[in-house]
Amino acid sequence: MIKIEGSDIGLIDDSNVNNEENCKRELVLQDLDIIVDFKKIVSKISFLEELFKYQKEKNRSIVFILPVEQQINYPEKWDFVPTKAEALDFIFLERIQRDLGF
Amino acid sequence: MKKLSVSNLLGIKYLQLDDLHLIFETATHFKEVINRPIKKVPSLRDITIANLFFENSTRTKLSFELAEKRLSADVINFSANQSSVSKGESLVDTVNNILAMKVDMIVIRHPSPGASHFLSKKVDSCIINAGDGTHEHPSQALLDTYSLKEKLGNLQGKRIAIIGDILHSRVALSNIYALKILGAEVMLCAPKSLLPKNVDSLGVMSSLDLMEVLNWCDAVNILRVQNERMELNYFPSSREYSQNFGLNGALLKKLKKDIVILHPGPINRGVEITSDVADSDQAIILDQVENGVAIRMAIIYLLGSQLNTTKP
Repeated sequence: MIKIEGSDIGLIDDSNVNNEENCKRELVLQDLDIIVDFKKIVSKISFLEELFKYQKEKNRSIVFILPVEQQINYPEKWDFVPTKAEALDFIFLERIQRDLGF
Repeated sequence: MKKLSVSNLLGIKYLQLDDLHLIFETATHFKEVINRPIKKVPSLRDITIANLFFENSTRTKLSFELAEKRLSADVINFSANQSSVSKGESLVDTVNNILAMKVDMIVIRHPSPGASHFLSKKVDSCIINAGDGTHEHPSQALLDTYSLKEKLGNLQGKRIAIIGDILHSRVALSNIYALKILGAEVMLCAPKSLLPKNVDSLGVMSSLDLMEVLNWCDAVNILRVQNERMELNYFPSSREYSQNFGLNGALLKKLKKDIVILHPGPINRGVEITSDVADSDQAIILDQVENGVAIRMAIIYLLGSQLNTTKP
């Protein structure tokens, strides 16, 4: 997993999504919020669902960067944004919400 | 000139006792102004305020807009459906676009808790929280406590009950913070399913017995059941809720004293409060509405006075 410099945010993209075990290990070790960014539709839904569940149980964020027209291929409960900047904003807002007790 | 200890109004939690006193003192002045034949003052003539409402609102929006216009500020309004904007998506873009039009102050209502905090860290403008999800609604709490002070005087040691849907209420949390700052004792009353889990950490009492609470308190703030925020059934039916937690004339007659009755609106008549109580002399619901404009004028004026609006 690529860690976004100084922010405790992990980025999962086409380059590292295939290494599931590495991703899981890093998450356990580093306790990160995650941005998932694919350039194309991938078939790793079970792995991503597992990550989603893991993040929610730990009360950490997970957000998916995906164009609107592709979102239909993924579960509705996932949070989608169109760009990385908005994904960072999304995580920033969720961190504020956690600080406020939500 | 006295100043607030904050440069944004994000929540009551961040205010101090002196801030509340200053806001009340200023509101009293503006209340006198809005009762004059000419209700407008030129105080904020050079300030532009944007009202950004990402969630439905009628009374709060009108009250803020009226307050801004009474202070001679220039006002622009932006409304968006809750469905079209969620979480942080596009919020910063939207606000930055509006700020590019040289807006000095933003009044924001948003369905996500913390949205105003988020904006305050992302944009260089004065932010007023007009309600963020189930978190805080500071201007409502300020007008509620101001209205209570008008009726009861100093709130130190006064017993105030908050009855109704506490769990989904931003009004409840802001009121609790404001009442605690002012030294009042607070008791919450609701079905167990509508009480937050962290009641103890708020430094307030709670009870499931409406009559016990009414006998205890000097004033009661009745909250609406917020069906729109409920994803589950929190009580069996509106009828059962009304029987156990609704305020009606028969209950008030059983009390050996007159208590002050507040409601932030909109009222579900016959559910949390009956019409005979809502329209009674003990109810100060319309005073709250009037004081809302004066309080919001005070908030905007005090924060606006702290802005750097140096002109070329």
